Order: sequence, then structure tokens, then C-alpha cells
Amino acid sequence: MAPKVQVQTTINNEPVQFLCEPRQSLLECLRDVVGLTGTKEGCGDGNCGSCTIKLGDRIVTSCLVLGVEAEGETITTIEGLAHGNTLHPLQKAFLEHAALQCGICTPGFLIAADALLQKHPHPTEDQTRFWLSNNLCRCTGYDKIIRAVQAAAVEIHGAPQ
Amino acid sequence: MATVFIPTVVRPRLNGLAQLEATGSTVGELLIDLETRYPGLSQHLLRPNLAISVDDEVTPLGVLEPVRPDSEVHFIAAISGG
Amino acid sequence: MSVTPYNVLGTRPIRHDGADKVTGRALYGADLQLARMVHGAILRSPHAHARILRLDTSKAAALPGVFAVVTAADFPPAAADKIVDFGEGDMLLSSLRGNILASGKVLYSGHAVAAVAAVNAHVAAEAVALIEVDYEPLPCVLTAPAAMAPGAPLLHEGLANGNVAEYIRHEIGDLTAGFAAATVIVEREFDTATVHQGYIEPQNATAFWSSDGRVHIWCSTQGSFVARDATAAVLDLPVSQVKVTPMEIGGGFGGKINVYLEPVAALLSKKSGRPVKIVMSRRDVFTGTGPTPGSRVRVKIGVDTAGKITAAQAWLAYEAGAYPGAMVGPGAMTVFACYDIENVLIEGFDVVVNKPSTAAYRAPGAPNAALATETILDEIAEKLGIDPLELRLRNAAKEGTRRADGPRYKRIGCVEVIEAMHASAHYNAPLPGPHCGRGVAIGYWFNIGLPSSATLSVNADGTVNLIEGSTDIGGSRTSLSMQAAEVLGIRAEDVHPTIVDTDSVGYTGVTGGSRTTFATGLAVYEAAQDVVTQMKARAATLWTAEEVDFSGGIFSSGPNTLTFAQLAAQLGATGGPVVGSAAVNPRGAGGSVAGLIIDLKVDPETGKTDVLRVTSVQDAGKAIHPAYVEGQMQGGTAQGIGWALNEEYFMDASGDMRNSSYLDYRMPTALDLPMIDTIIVEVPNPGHPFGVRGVGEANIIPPLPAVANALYRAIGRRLNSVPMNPATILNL
Repeated sequence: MAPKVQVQTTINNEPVQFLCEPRQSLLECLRDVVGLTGTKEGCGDGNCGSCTIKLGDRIVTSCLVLGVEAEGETITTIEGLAHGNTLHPLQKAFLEHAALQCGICTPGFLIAADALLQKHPHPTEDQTRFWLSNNLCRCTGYDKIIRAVQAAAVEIHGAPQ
Repeated sequence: MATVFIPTVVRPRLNGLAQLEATGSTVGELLIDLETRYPGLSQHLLRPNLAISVDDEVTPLGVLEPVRPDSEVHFIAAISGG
Repeated sequence: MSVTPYNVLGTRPIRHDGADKVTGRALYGADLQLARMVHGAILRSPHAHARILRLDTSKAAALPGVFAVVTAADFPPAAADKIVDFGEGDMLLSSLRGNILASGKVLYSGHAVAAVAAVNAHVAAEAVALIEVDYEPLPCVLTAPAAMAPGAPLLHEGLANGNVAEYIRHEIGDLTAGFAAATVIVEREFDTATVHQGYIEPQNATAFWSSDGRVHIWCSTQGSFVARDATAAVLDLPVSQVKVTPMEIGGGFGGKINVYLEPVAALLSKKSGRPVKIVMSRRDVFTGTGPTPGSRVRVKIGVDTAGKITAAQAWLAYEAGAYPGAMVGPGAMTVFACYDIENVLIEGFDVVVNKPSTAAYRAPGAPNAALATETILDEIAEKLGIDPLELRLRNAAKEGTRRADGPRYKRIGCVEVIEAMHASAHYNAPLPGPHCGRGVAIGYWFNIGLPSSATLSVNADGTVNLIEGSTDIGGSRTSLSMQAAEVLGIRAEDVHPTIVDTDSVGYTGVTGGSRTTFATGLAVYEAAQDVVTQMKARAATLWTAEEVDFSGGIFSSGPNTLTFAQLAAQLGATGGPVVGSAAVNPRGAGGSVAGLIIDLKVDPETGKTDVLRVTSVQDAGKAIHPAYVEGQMQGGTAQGIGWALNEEYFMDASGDMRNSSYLDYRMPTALDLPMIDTIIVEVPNPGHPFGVRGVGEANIIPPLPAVANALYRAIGRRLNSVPMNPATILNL
């Protein structure tokens, strides 16, 4: 077994150091080493999007990133989306629009949607569907998720001009 | 006399009869009555994959379910679901 | 606007577990961490059918970091075989054990053979690779028609007839006379592929076998009591020796009723003395759990000039997978269930094949059958020049209609659903252009009752705590809390639901069969009535009154009135706590009819189908929380569209699944679907105080035939196999 490596990161605005084996995915490190289990594993090969996190300024499926690759990086997970006890507008919109049923895909959708709204303040339905097409949901048929994201866009950025 | 409907797969054992009249105040008593005329019949009706329907309602009481003289009793596939 | 008699029912409160689920705090099975916990992995067969000649685990056991290895030899000695009751879809104990860990023969590629517990999942995987198995490969058989053919390789000794485990037959009327009276007769044969429920959360189980002999299981299950009872049966323990704590569940759709990992984790824990967690990989889920059957279905329907169905015949052969239980029973019961037909013959065959042992999937068995019936009716409507919904309306089953399997329907909403489809904006809108087609179809699902228990305790601040045992897959905490709130005259937010382990609530059946809002809802309703009765007595004590009324959340007697909250604050002085409880095993589960209207566009160059517009219609009896009713309709519709257009187990000739990842097993993404419009029809179920009908399942039935009918309108040819993917469309 290769010796463990120390990794220094910033996770959800807090400095975090963790020890990991070189073969461990970032997803595994977040869940099993750091204890942030809000990021979910649905497939382990980058196709379901449940483990989506923000790494630096891009979103990644954390099952396809090694833990050691996070050295010096800034990470946002679902646990860092709300401000204290105040839910992010996307989180509120998901609840108000019943955009989750079982909830296992929800953290990945929220992180991906947050990145979408930073890039496109008022995404069209097509833009929203395209952006979220790496996140699988088996419960909702996506209808209420798309509506929630569009409602959150208005909540954050105001009605489109 | 209540009417006991015979599942299609069991009818060959009764020379093709589709329904039988029987006397009793519960499904179990109907079957006891039928056993006197058709020995061994109830073992083909009381199977784990068959549910008992009395007057068009699947009963959780099974053979203990009360019946009226004009009741209809069916043995139907136990319904499942996802 | 109709005036609703309800304060809470029909509103859309925020779900009680919502904050936990949008912040990542909700704990699913794989999130569990216990002190000294080790991790399990499963060795699976690479062969679809083979004899196990030698199984040597010694090298795996010797690997540093390995704590335990188990095989089927570690099961307690087999007692007499018996039925294990899953509440729905029973299984022989010998089959259940054989599926959990193979003994003697492997029956499908992916069949579990042995398991390891190690310090982490990586070491466990390394250890699994060190297990040596010598197989003698046997010929495999992968489809129902092939398995029924003379000379087919046999999976088991002693089934009813070769690989046919069960033959089902329903017959009413005179088929020959019925077809003689028909002016149009259409007969067609359809094949459907094996598909998977596709829940995003893989199966997982953690077990700890305590030194006092009790086994504690934490798992993702649709039914904690079913998981308890099945695990106890496999391990030959009294049920009270097993305690199951249901974790949050990341989707099920019928696929998380059976047990796969729980007894294995328990055996590994017994050997290692540590808690053992096993989480399946996605390939494990595809190849080692129960998908829904592939099938061959032949249907023949005759209709007279008046558009009345005079006779109908069905022949259904469903692939059970490795062990009997293909859900062909429900297929046979639903194939003509939407219609009033006097002359019917239905034959069903439960056929074992060398594929994973199948499990329930949302109205199991019904979509395969409805594909045939609803496609043929579409063809007949065209031949007769009748609107396809009008043809269905003329034949719709109603209260009193006798089903092919004998009983007559209670009140159902078949006519109302068809009428709502006919009147919808979608059905009356023009199609957008060339290469487009519109299809319609309907489907019926029975729904079930089964036992449920619930307890309500009143808090001094006027709220109540709800203790229940139905695992919540799609918002049932809230649909149950709303029923308690309605009875008690309080807000949904004033009910605090908790789903507890099997030691802490009365027996409760699975979250399945569309039963939770109906049956556990009834338990909650009865428990709330119990609370009302007790609270009335307290008010009577307080006021020294003979009679106390309760209406609209107000207790009253003469000039005295108290709200629920005001009286709750005085319980301490009137005799102490009030706790209401109920346990039910209800009859009267009302069946639900669903319909679908779908517009498709086919690219003639590539054969790719785009879904343009969808409207799902369903009878909910009474929609307790309309947003989650819509969610069930939209979810079932999306799954049905995926099943129709793309999804399939792609097996090679050796029985290996070649597309066991989400990349290649192509479920619908957000980009593949439009918005899914919904129309909720409410024909109250007389078997529930609020009229509830389960809505979880019927919605997946219409998409297969509706898509097939729309494709026909778009391309002018009828397809007879599912999935109707671009290759199939181009090769027509």
C-alpha cells in the first residue's frame, strides 16, 4: 500500500487538511475522510452527476478526480451552499417546487445549477436542460427541477429584461 | 348458497366446472363444504400466490372472511406492485 | 372553483425532510459511519450458467486487512423450504438464499458467489480478486421463447414444465363466438427488453451482529419489516433477533423490496465481530439486483362495427430471470383491465432464464402487456375510422364490470380519465409539422393495502409527533402528516413525522404497490381519530361536560370552546399525555387509471426521436399533496418513455450484460424530455376516508404504447419491439 499523502485544501470556505491514499477519489476523500457525506455516489464513473462539486471555478464529478489532485484547490460541496441557516435561493426553490422526491441526486443538481446561474443569470429552458444533462434524476422527469432553477434565477437576478 | 368461482387452471380437476355453490358463514366453511364433495380441492385454492376476493374485495382475513348466502368468492393472483 | 371541504388536503406544504435533503444532511445508507466498521465486497459470476466445481477463498482470507470471507456454506443449515413473504411477490427461501449467494450452480452473469470484509473497499476488492473459482460452463438460455423451446437448457430441476415455473389462465365468455361477431380482428406479437428501475442510489447494507446475538441492519429498503423478516429467514433467526433501521432511500420503484446484501453483511459481521458495510457498484446494481422482465406478448382483439370489443385473447411469456416470479400474474390481470369485454382468454407463462432474478418495477408486468393491447386498439380505431380515445371510451371498464380473473370493479375512474384526455388542450392542439406523430394510451393498476401502523403523540405546544414505518421515497412523510393535520385541525407543519426502526413501530408493509398514502395514510387517520377521542374526554373533564364536539380544529361544549393547541396545553392537568395509535390491514385499495398523450418527431435521416409534448393524466382519488402526485406522474412517464425509446439490457450470446453503466444504459436526461404536463383526475376511492387512490404506478403503463402509436403516426410503420431506438426505426 502506497504511503498516505497529505492534501491541503479549502472546503466550503474553511481550510481543510486530509490524509489520503493516492488511489482514493476526491469523492471518497470528501465522504469517508473529511466526513462530508452530502456529496453522493451513484455510479462511480462520471455518468450520473450525483457527486458533482465545485473545484476551483469549474464543476466536476468528484468520483473522477483523485483526492491528491485537490492539493491547493478551493472546493464547494452541498454543505457549503447555504449561508449558515439561510438556504440558498436554489435550495428554497427546490423545496417550493417539489423538485426532489428521493433526494439522492439533489446535491449534485444544486451544485450544477448554482454554476449555471453564475454563468447564465437567466438561462433559457434549453440552456438549463443542456447544462443539467450530466445529472441523472430517476424520480421527477426533470420538470419540477427545471422550473425550480428558473424560479431561483429570477429570485437571485430579478426578472429578465 | 354462496358462489365459489374456480380459477381456470383448477377447472380441469372439476371436469371444467367454473363455479360451485357452497354453504357456510366464512370462506373456510365454504371450502370445508366443498371438500366433502370434491376432496383435495382446497389445496389447489389455498396457495400463497392466490389472494381471496369476497364480493369483489381482496380480503386480508383470508379463510376467516365472513360470507353471505349471495356472496361471490374468487381466488385471484395476489397483486403486487413496485 | 369547486369548494373543498378540506383545510390541509390539496395544499402544497414544504416537505418535512426538505431542509435535510437540500443541504446534504439527510443520511442515506452509504453515509453511515460506525466505529470499527469494515467494508464488504462481493465476488460475482462471469458466467451466465455454470457449475461451481471448486471455490477456494484461502488466499483472500490471508490478505492483510481482510477480516472475513463468506460463501453459501456459511448459511445456517437449510431448514425445510418455505415461502418468504415480501408483502408483494413472495419467494421460496431456497431461491432467496440461492440468489444471495450461489450454491452448486451460478444462474446468471453477476450472480453472487462469495463476499469479503476488509479494512476498506479497495482491499476488499483486491481480496475478492484472489478468490479462486473453477467453473464448468453450461449452455445458457436468455429469452422466454428460447427457454420454452424443446431441448432448452434447464436452470432448475422440478419446475412445473421445463423452464416454465407457472402457467396462468383466465377465461370468461365464449372466445370463438366473440371473434365470430367481430368485423375487425387484429393480432400482433411484441417483444420487450429487460430494463432496470435505475434508482440512482445503489443498494447498500450495514450490519452488526452483536455479542448478545441480535443483528442490527441499516439499509436502503422500501420495507424495513420485509428486510427484517427476509434477513431473519435466510439466517434462520427469530424475527425479533433482527432490527432494521431504514436509512433514507435514494429511489426504489420496486427494486428495493428484495434483499441482496443484508444477510451477507450480517454473516461477515458475525465472523469479523465488526460492523460491516457493503455498497454496490453500478455494475453490481445492473447485474446483481432485479431488473424487470423482458417479454414476448401476443394479443388478438376483435371489434364490431359499433366499436365494441367482442373478444380478446392474450398470450404472455415473461422472463423471470434465474428464479421463478416474473410478475406475469399482474401482467395477465392488467392486459385487458381497462375494458369491459365479455369474451376473454388470457394465458401467462413464468419462464426462468439465465438473467438476473427479476424484481418489481412500478406496475410490474403491466407495461409489457399494455403495449400490445393499446397498440392493437390504435390500429383497430384507424381501420374503423373512430377516434382512438372514443374507441376506448366505448369499451371502458366501469363499476360493476367483471374482470377476466373474476371479480367485478368497484368505482374506478377509467371513463373520467379518457374524457379528461379528450378534453385536454394538448389533444385538441395541431401537430407542429412533418415527421411528427401523436399517440395516446391508457393503463390500469390495482394498488394494494397491506398492514401499516402509526402513533401520534400530542405536544403541549399544540403540535403532534408522528411515528411511522413507511420509508419515504417521494414525500410520504408529508402526505401522511397532512392527513393527521386534516383530522386534528392543525397545519401540516404542526405534525413532526419520524420514520423509525423495526423495534419502534408496529408492523408496516413496504413502500410499494402505491399503498403508502392509502394504507399508512389510513393508519395515520385512525391514530388521529384516536387522539380526537381522547382529547374530547379531556375537554369533558375540564368542563365537566357530558358531550364535547370537535369540528374544524375546535373542541366545544355549550359556551366552552378550545382550539386543539389550547387544549393540548392543558393535557398535563387533565390526566397526562395523549398518545393515539392505530394498526390497520385495510381492504378497499382503489385502483388507478392513467393515460398519456405524447407528441414525437422522428428524424428520417438518423431515426432519432425527439419528444415534443407530453400530457400525463391520472385518477388520484383525492390528491393529498398535488405537487407530489404530479411528481409521481412525471417520474413514471419519464421512466416509461426511457423504456419505450432507449433502455435495454444488451446481453451478448454468453449472457454478459455489455452496457452495465449509465453511459451505455441510456436513461432519459433533462435534455431528452420536455416539460411533462399533468392533469389530476379525482374520482374518490370509497375505500379511504379522504378518497385516496395510490398514484405511484399506473403512470408508467401508457408510455410504451403511446410512444409506439405516436411513432406509427410519424413514420407510417408499426414497430413490434421495445426499445424503439434509432436502429430499430431505421431498419424497418
